[in-house]
Amino acid sequence: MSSRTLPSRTSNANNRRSNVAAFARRWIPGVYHALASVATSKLWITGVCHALASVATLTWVGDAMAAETPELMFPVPEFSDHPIPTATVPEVQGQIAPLLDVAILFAALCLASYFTLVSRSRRNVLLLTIASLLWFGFWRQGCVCPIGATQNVALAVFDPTYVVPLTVVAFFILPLVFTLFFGRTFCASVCPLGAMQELIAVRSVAVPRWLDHSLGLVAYIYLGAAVIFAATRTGFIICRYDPFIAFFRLGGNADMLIFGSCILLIGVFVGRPYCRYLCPYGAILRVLSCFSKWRLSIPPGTCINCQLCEDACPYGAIHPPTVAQTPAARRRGKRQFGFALLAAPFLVAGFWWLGTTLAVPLAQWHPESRLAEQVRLEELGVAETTTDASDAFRGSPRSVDDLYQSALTRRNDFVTLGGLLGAWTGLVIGFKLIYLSVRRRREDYQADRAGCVSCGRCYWYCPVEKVRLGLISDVSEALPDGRTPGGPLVQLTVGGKKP
Amino acid sequence: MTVETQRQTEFQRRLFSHRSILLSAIVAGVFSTLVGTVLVIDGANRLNKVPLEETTFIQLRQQYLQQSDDNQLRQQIQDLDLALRREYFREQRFTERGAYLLLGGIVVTLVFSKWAATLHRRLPRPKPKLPGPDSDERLSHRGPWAVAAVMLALVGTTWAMKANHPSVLPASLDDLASDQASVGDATPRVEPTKIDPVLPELPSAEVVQANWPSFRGPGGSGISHFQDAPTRWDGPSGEGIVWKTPLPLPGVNSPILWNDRVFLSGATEAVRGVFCFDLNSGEILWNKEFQVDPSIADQKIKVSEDTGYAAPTMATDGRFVFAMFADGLLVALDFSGNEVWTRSLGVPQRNNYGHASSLVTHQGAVIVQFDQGSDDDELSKLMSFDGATGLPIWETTRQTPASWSSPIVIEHEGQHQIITCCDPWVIASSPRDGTELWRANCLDRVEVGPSPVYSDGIVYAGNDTAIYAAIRAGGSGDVTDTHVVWTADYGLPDTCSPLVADEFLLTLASYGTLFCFDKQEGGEPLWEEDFGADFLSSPSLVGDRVYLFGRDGTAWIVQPTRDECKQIAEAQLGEDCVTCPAFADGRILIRGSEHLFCIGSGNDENQ
Repeated sequence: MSSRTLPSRTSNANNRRSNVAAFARRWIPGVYHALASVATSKLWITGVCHALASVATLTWVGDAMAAETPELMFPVPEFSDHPIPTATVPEVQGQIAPLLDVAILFAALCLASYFTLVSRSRRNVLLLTIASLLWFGFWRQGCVCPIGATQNVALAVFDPTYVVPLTVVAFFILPLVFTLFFGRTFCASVCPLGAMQELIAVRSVAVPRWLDHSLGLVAYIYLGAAVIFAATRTGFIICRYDPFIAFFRLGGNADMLIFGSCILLIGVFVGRPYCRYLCPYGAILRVLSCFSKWRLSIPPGTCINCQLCEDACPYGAIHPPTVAQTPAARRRGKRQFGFALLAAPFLVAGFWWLGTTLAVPLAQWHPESRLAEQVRLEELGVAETTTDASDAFRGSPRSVDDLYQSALTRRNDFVTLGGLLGAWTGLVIGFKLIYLSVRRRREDYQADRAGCVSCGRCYWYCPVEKVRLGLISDVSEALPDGRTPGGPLVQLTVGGKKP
Repeated sequence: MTVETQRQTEFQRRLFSHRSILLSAIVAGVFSTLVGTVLVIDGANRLNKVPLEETTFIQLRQQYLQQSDDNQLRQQIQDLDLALRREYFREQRFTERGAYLLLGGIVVTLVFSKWAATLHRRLPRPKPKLPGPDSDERLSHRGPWAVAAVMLALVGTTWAMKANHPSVLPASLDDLASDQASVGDATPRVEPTKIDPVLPELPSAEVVQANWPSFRGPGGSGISHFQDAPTRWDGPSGEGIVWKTPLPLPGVNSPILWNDRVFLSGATEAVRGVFCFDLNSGEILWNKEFQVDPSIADQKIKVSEDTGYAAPTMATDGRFVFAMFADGLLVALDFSGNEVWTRSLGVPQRNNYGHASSLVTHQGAVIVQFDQGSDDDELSKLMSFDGATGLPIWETTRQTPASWSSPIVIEHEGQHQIITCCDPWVIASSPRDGTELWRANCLDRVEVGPSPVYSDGIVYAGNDTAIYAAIRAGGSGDVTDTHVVWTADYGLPDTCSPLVADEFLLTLASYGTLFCFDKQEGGEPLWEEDFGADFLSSPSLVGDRVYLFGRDGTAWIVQPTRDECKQIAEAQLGEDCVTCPAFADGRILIRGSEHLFCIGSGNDENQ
């Protein structure tokens, strides 16, 4: 048997690092000074140079990072005497790494809560956001995350044979507890998915509140489906359809990349689309945040109703003061509330029935049910070809009847489970209709308890905050065109707050 | 201020101006878009492209199946194979580099965009709101309609899901039976293409019994099929020694025997080898060496003085011989010494004494007990590989720590079972698919060394500091409470495997005491006999005589009865011995520390 000499991965990595460092030391200052003399004369060249220098460096680093020794990745050619590379089992991480993750999560939540509620520092929140994205996203590759942990916990609750790791439980519980005390500080700067969207929300447009509320229902339905699929071991759909996991791991299938790219692209113009309209964990946090003991307040003191913060929030989570209703509007509101109350049970029943009709498609999410369908198609001679799964099944000792029986049992189970998912959907819709018919009174600009992700973007715009920081001596200095609080920007009607 | 300083200041001002930064963001954005587009186009072109499914390659392979002796064709396939794989990995690298570039480009775009936005940050200029209904009022008006739209969308989605996911499964299995009757004339189902290689047939059970195909012979019992074996020899003088051959490489595995060939393996840190000896002459017929894979050269392979790099005893299914080494290398050779396949199972992790479990075969499959690590890291595995191809047949993960015991395959009430010992279980698995049949808890918190034995429906297993248990081989799940016939807590072995004869169970402690138990009753030993020597070699039975090989090479031949251990003979090998003997008709094959010995009568030419 022939042998070959392979450089070790470790030495490759070290070489790469040292090459990068040497490259940086040697060339970057030189390039900088060379460009300086040119750039002083032409401004546009400066910009191009900025980007080209960055891109050239990235190209070189990217190339160095991607260039693995070909032999290491090269599988055994057929019929050859190529020595088989050893499949080594990586060292088990032990208890330290999971504990470290939990400790870092706890520390990040503490910091996020402190930066948001105590120091009120948007800059620190942003830095923590970047750090969380790097650690929980790119370094830990998005796993374990509290969003996905929802499924582990659901499976552990419904299946006693499944032992959920305590780390995963901690990841699920800690953000919930912090939300109960401090609002959605997890979403603010700890969640890597939120962090990704936070950083790209550069040209956000306001989504009308009615649209925001209706699209937000999807997250609750997604939560219900995820729990049911996890509890029945059908699949962990939250993880499977995690939009950013492909980016965190620098690779994924085309569907994942396209889905993630679309979310990111939308996220440039619609702030945090995944958090607001899809995130199932965010759905839980929205509810808990309504009951949080402390939460972000936009001005550190009395609101002067300058309206600046409302425009600053890319997530539509700051609502203006309300005005008093006319008697006719009040009567209409009462009718709407009564109608919503009456409709709720019918919605639950109606969607229950609708859910029961989904037993077949829901059951087919389970790989075994899909296999049973494929095997049945093959048995009937309808399938044009076999699949890897059906070939493997036919090579196993399991009988076809056993497979069918299992699939049929699952389908029957999904009649009930589909009904439950439907009932949950009806319940959520019913609550939403009731919520929409209930009138709330606000006397100044307030962050929405459920929708505010505690990002702290509004701080910079708040004149009262600037006075607190000593940046200005009077709020009028921060208002555009010298407007003063005495001449409010909001023309309040009856019942509004008078200056 | 000097001109140079002014120039520098002006440069820095322009360099960090808003327009400059914004332009940078735009250039980086365009670059990212270009890279992304190239990646998307490239990805779309390579969608569903599998290199080894190239038409030419498949055709050549088909051709080769018909002309398997065409070396030129073989070389052609090999070259094409290599080229296709190279192309595949080149494309992979392209995508990977592109992904890094895209990520970098996006990061640069974001950083510069953010920078530009920060430099240009201004207060919003909201227009005064006009009198009229507030946003909550509008929400309560429009919100329900939007929710209604979502409800409609949900109904539509439900309908679409139902329409797109029809089921061909009937409502119940009863309906299925009637469906099957009605579709009797349908096109028969597609059978996957299967190419069965032409291989020598597996030997019959009688042939296996007449040989010594694995550790401790057929069934791992240590019992010879033959009734006669020599009782007098002297290694130093050569009396009673038919031949002795120096071993090319060290090892502590025991010889196996098939017809007139004896097989052994040996290894050092640098090289692994398999040797074939002629039974009649002791000549080394072939010696196949395997170099250590360079990719694991840096990895620490944990071994001890008692195990070394070649502790597992080889096995044969009568067609091929299989050997395993401490670095997880599993090899198969034909009887001419040609390499049939090799497979690296990975360096065993956290195995204090080095991998030592011997191989066993069953109906053409080679079974590997690969216990390692601790009981909660799921590193331990029981695996079965096709002996002819090396392809995995099944693999089961075991929540057990490292162990050094060897598996045996038994046939109980027409059902074959693989019996393995590990902390804390004796586990029976199906050799067909690896599923667990039953398990009994009797090896709690011990480093399991002795292998199990089986006789008359009972599996005997145990270890010093735990208990010894006789377990009825049947049931399912945990049978500790229902199938353990008897237990013993005295006279337990720590390394040597037991020997079960017609009436007795013999256990040999490494400190030199042989214990005899009633195999039906267990409990206290009937007697114990101390030999004043250390033992690592397990006892063997030929006829009614038990052969014991001490660590210093002294051998005792005893005849156990219910009342006593009657010593028949004592002999010397002349060098240390820690392995188990293999028995041929009238001959003993035993591996010493430096030689392979064939003990018997030199005039016996019937081998």
